[in-house]
Amino acid sequence: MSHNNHKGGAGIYIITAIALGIITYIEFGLIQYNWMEGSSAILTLVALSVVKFLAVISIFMHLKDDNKTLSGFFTAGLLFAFATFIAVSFLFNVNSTKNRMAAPEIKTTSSHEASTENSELLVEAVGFNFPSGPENQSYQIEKPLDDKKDYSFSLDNAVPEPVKNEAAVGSSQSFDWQELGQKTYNNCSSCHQANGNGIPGAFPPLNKNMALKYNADKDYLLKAVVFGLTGEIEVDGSKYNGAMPAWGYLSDEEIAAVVNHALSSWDNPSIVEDFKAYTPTDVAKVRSLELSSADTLDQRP
Amino acid sequence: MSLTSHGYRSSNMKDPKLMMWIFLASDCMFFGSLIGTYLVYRGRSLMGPYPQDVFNIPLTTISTFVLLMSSFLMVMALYYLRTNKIQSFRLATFGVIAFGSIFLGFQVFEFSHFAEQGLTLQRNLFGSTFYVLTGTHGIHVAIGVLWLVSLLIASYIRPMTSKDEVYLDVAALYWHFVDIVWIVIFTVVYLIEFI
Repeated sequence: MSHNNHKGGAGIYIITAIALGIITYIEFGLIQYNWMEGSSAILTLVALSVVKFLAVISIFMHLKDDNKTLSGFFTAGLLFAFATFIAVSFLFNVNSTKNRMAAPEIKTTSSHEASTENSELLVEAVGFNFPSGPENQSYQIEKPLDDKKDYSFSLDNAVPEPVKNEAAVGSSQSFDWQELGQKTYNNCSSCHQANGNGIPGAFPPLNKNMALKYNADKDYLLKAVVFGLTGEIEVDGSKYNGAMPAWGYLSDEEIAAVVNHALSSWDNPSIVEDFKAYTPTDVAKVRSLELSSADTLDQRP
Repeated sequence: MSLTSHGYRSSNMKDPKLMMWIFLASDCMFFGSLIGTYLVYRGRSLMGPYPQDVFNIPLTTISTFVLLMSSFLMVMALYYLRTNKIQSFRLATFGVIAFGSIFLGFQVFEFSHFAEQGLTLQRNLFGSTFYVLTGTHGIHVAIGVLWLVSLLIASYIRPMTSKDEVYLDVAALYWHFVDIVWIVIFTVVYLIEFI
C-alpha cells in the first residue's frame, strides 16, 4: 500500500533533512546573534518549530501518505495535550492573581476601611470578584462612618461585618494575622511541610525548633524570613546545608502574620515563652537592618 | 506472520502502526503536561541558578542538530530496508544509534554541568521541572536506542527483508516522535528564555 508512495526515492528525505538543519541554524542565529527581538522573535521561533514539527510528522513519519485514521488519533492526542496545557495554565494564573490580590495591607486605622478590606478578602477567598459597586462607593461618601444604624440596614452591606468593626475599633493596635498567616504559610509548606516537620536532611523543621529560636532571640525569626539563611545549621541533631530564600518581597503584614502563624501552630505554643505576636512594625524594624543571608547565619542564636 | 494470524488483529499489517500512533498520542499528553508544568512554574523560582545562568545555546543547538540528523538516518534506514539494501539499512541504523547516544552524552554532560553550578532536582522550581521534563525525554531517547540496538542485532540473527518493514517502521515512528518532542522543548524551554 503505502510502499509505493515511497518508492519515489530518498530525495525528499534529504531535502527535508537539509531544511531541518537550516531552520535549526536560523533559530540558533535568532538567539545567538539577536537577529530579532521581542514578540516577533517569539512568533518566528514558534512558527519555525511548528514547521519542523510538521515536516517530521508528515514526511519522516509519513503521515501525509498514510491512513487518515492515524493522523486522527495523533491530532486528538495533540489537542488533548494542548487543552490540558491551557487548563493548567489558566488554573495557575487565576490562582496567582488571587494570591497577589489577597495580600493587601491590613489597615486598622479606620474601622470602615478595615471592614471593606475584609469583605474583599472574603470575596477573593470564594474566588468571586464583584465589581466595586457605585452604591458602595457613594455610601462611603454620603454617610458618616459612625452612622452604624443605617449601615446595618443597608442591603449591599448585609454581611456580618459590623461585629468585626467594633473589635477593630476596640484595640487599634491589634493585628489580625490568623487568616493571613495561614494563607501566607502556603509559601513555606512546600519545603517545611504543612505539619511543620520539614524534610529530614533537606528542609529543617519549624515545629519546636522555631519556638526555641523565638525564646532565644526575638528578632532572629524575622531576620531569617526577611533576609533568608544560607550555610550549615544543626537542628535537633541533624545537619542542614540548604538555602532559605529571602522572603523580603512579602509585605511586613504577611511576614509578621506567617511567623505568628507558625509560632502558634503544632507543638510550638507549648514551648514558646510569653508569646507576643509580631506586628508589621516589628518586621519593618528588622527590614531596616539590611542583612545578608550569611549575616543571618552569624546572628543565629 | 504470527501477528496477522489472530482474528482480532485482522490481516492488516498496519495494526502495529495503529497501536504505535495511539501510544504516541497518549505520550503527547504526557509531554504536554510536563511542558505545561515547566511553563506554569517558569520564572517562579525563588533562588538561582536560573535558566539564563546555566543554559548553553550553542551546545544545545548542536545536540538538537544531532537528534534531527538521527531522524534523517532513521528514515533512510527504513528506506533501505524497503528497497532491500540490507547493508545500507544496518549502517543507517547504526548511525541512528550512534547519534542517539551522542545526544544522550550531551545530556549527561549538560546535567552534570548544571549540577556543578548548583542546579539540582530539589534546588528550585526550575530545577525540578526542567530535570523531570528533559530527563523524561532522555529516557525516551535511551529506550529508542536500546530498541534499535535490538533490531540491529536481530537483523544479524535472522536476516531482515523488506517484509519485516513494519518492525522497523514502528520503531522509527517512536524515534521521530522523540525528535519532535525535542523540537518543542528546544524552542519552548531553551530558545524563548533568551528573548
